[in-house]
Amino acid sequence: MDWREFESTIARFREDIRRAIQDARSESDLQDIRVRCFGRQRGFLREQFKRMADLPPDLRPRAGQLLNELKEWLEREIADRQRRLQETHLEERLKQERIDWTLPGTPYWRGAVHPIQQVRQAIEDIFLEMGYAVVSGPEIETDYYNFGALNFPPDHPARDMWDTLYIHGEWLLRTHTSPVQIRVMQRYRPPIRVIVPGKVYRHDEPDATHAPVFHQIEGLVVDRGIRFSDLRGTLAYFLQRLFGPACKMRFRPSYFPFTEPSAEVDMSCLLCGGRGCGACKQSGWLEVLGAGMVHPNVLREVRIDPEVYSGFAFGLGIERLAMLMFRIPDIRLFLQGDVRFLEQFRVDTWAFRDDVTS
Amino acid sequence: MKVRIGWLKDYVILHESPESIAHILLHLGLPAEDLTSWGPDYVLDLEVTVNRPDCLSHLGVARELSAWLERPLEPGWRSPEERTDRSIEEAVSVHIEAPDGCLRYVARVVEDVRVGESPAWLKDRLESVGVRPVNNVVDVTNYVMLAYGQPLHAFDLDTVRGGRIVVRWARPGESLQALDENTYPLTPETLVIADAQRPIALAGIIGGLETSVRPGTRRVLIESAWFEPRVVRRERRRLGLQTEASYRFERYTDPEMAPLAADHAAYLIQTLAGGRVPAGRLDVNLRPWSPRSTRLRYERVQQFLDVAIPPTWIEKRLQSLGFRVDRVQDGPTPVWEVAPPSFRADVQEETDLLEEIARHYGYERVPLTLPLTEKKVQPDYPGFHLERAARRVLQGLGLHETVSTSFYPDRPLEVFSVVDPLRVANPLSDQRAFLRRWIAMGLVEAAQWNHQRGVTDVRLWEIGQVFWDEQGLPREACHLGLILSGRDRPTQTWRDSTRPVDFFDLKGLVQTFLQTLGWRPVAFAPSSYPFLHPYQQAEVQVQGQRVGFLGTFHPRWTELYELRTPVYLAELDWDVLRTLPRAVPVFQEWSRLPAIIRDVSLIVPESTPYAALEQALAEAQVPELARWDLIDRYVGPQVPTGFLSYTIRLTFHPQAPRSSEEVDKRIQRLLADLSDRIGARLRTE
Ligand SMILES: [Zn+2]
Repeated sequence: MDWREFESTIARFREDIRRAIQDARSESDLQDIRVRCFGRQRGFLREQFKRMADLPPDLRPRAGQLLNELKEWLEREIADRQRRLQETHLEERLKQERIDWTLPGTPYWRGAVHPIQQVRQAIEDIFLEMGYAVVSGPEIETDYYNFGALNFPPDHPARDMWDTLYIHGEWLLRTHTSPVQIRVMQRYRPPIRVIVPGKVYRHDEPDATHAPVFHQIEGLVVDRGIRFSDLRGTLAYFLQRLFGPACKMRFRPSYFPFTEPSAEVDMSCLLCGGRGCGACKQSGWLEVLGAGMVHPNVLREVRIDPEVYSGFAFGLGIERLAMLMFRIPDIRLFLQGDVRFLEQFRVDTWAFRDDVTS
Repeated sequence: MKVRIGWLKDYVILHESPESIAHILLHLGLPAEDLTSWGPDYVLDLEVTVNRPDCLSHLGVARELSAWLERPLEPGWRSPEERTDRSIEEAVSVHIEAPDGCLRYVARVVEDVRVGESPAWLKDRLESVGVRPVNNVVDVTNYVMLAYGQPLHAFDLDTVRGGRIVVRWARPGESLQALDENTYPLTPETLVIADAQRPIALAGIIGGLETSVRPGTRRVLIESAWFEPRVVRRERRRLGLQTEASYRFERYTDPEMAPLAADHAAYLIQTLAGGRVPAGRLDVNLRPWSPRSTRLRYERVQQFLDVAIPPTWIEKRLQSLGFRVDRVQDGPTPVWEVAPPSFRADVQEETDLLEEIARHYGYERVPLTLPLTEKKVQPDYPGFHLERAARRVLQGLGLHETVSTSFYPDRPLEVFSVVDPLRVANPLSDQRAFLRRWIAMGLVEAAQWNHQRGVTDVRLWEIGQVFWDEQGLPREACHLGLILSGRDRPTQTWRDSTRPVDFFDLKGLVQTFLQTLGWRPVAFAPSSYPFLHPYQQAEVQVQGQRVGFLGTFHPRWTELYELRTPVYLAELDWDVLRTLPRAVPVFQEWSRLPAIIRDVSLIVPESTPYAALEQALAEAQVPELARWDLIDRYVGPQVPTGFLSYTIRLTFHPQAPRSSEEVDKRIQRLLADLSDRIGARLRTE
């Protein structure tokens, strides 16, 4: 065998295989080609390496080089083709996997925390940050805790401010969360800094703004040197944290048997910003809190010396705040358990806390 | 309390606009609910707190304004022109036989009056503040009350038998036909004004019809008294009869006002209805009022309000409000003895004076400060954070939180077989007199409410107090209730259909909830709650302790409540649950090798509960077995009658059995064991 024949065999093979690779349509076509080229038994390269022995010795290195170049070329061409084939296949597969992404997504149940609880938590968090503890008390109370210890004289018209539901004897359904003030002061000595969320009961005919069952949050601070100005500052801070820095506060005198001085606290109307609207009866103000300095008689009742200690207390109705925040028109909606109402509060209002505090 | 601005001007000079007067009063603690015009004048409807009965009069409101505006107060008291030839003692006598109910009784008499219509100015004043004119005598009594705060009553003296006024407790069997023409039965706790024979008025509440002043009345007896507030309050509550007079008496009237008001009324009657006034007034005063003074320390004012108010300002302002102020210690921080006036029973100690000062100085002028903060000193209530976590978990599980009333009718008591209910003595309606024993009572009502409105997907939870009676004592505890009804997913989709929720959805929910909060092990035990389906219910146990129930609401009641789908209820005793220890996750290393998983189908007698199989698997003590899951349950032609098939997926710890053969060996051993224990055998296809 001479060099020319060797060379032309390789060239022919190269031409054949180039076509074969171009025509390969699948991985198995490529596999056949690999066998043809690199097969251990009858692979072209193997055979040509064997045939090299028939060449004159001086030509063998050239032949070896030629075959190695061929091998590299084959490997490259096959790998290229394989990559292209793979890509084509992937493309075809992807085409088949085309979806109509405009079809609706899978629905999940989304739960809602009751708006009363959402507002309660928002308020709790503000006071928790200030170092208040959240405490609780029973809903069935005695006359003593609900009235007597809170400086309500027996048979006094002040009791009409809180129309009471009685169980029997001295037992009644608490008309406010204030009895917990007494329970806390009996249990702990000053300094005291607590808030008390809870359900309360009144003998009130239900209408759009009155409910016999509703929720309050009470606050109580007792320490040496607590001033009226501390009450004002605390509530101003609280309202701004809850409603934003634009929220203005107004203190005006009022009366509660268990505080003296007592105050009614208004905030600038959320809806009109103080210009006057239907919600605020054109006054620009909304009544949101009752507050005052703890009456010395209340401190004496729990053997805290009012000459040494003083304190403040405040209370607010959660429903009323929730009605303002979410523009709920009727207080009766809160207790109906209507899914169409509840599901409106699936939006997590925590997401809005950043906006308020920034 | 309606206050006419033009009327206030009788007592204090006012040139401010009605709006600014309303504004001043608001900051003094007398907010106006309403400001309306009355001709050229204006009327304020003031909200007067119960501690300030002195402001239930034009003079009282004017006093606040005069102090604030620093202008003089002119009460304008007048006295009648008296006869010299006849004294009041000749006309009437007054006897207080009930000193517990009446401390002072002042009487004035006007004779030869001509009862008729009041002049236009008087009628207009009364009408502008919402009082209907009657006749010139009655109108004067009302006018004086609205002007000065002292309720008066006028009797036709000719109908007062024996010319005697006796203040006494009613006698058994007595009754009185009052001005409102109702006849009221009286009790020995009723304080009455009587004549020589019979009651003629309910003290401090309403007068009698027979002795009232009417056209033709010639002789008028004016009553101006001080009644014990509690006595008036008790009686008007018993009778359900609130009047302008009782409203003031039960809040406390000024005992020193009684003679002044009687004189002024006699003067006005004389002026408007003619008549002659016998000399003098009767004034039975059992305990003359004397001022009680209180110490006021300037230091305290400064410290408490955090403002520096000039001491002279304090003195002047308190004086203009009627207080007597004596400086007992001079210097930069003076001390005073302050005696409140007779109309300010609400001021009893230093703190009340602090309020007066703050009120008139202006609450809004007190600075904003924060208490010197300390670290948190009290703990949050037990379970506070857990409760919050429970809310997050349940919300994540797709339930809505609901809040229900605590009051229920009898029917739920029957449905829930409550044997120890707690009843409200004075319920808002007899329909809802009982306190809830189970949260589920409200959840079922919520389901009813929603089903009736076409919403059957009801997935709710509530956490709150339930109540019961324990040997006569009211008790309460916190429970957590869950309810499921409707479909297993929010809506049918283009890919998946829905199925109704069932007992196992609820069971899985309860289990997931408990485990997510860290409670384990969670187990279930047989139960027999009468309000649940007898064969679809279980007791929930955590760490072997009973914590609640779950089950299908009894179909009998489902029908009664007109529920459109079955309803599944669970209720957990939160107060018990929250005290049970919860596991903090401890990191567990996992194997790099894949777990070995085998599915085996077992045939067991149909009566075998799955729990028996589980127990057998647990007791078989194959330590290499990491877990098992029930992946199929089959009853049908593929298994013999009377049997059912469970397919269990067994997961082995990867390290333990080293080969497939070893795993097979373990399974053989397990099967042999299960066969011994519960008669299970391998199902062959
Ligand atoms: Zn507004």
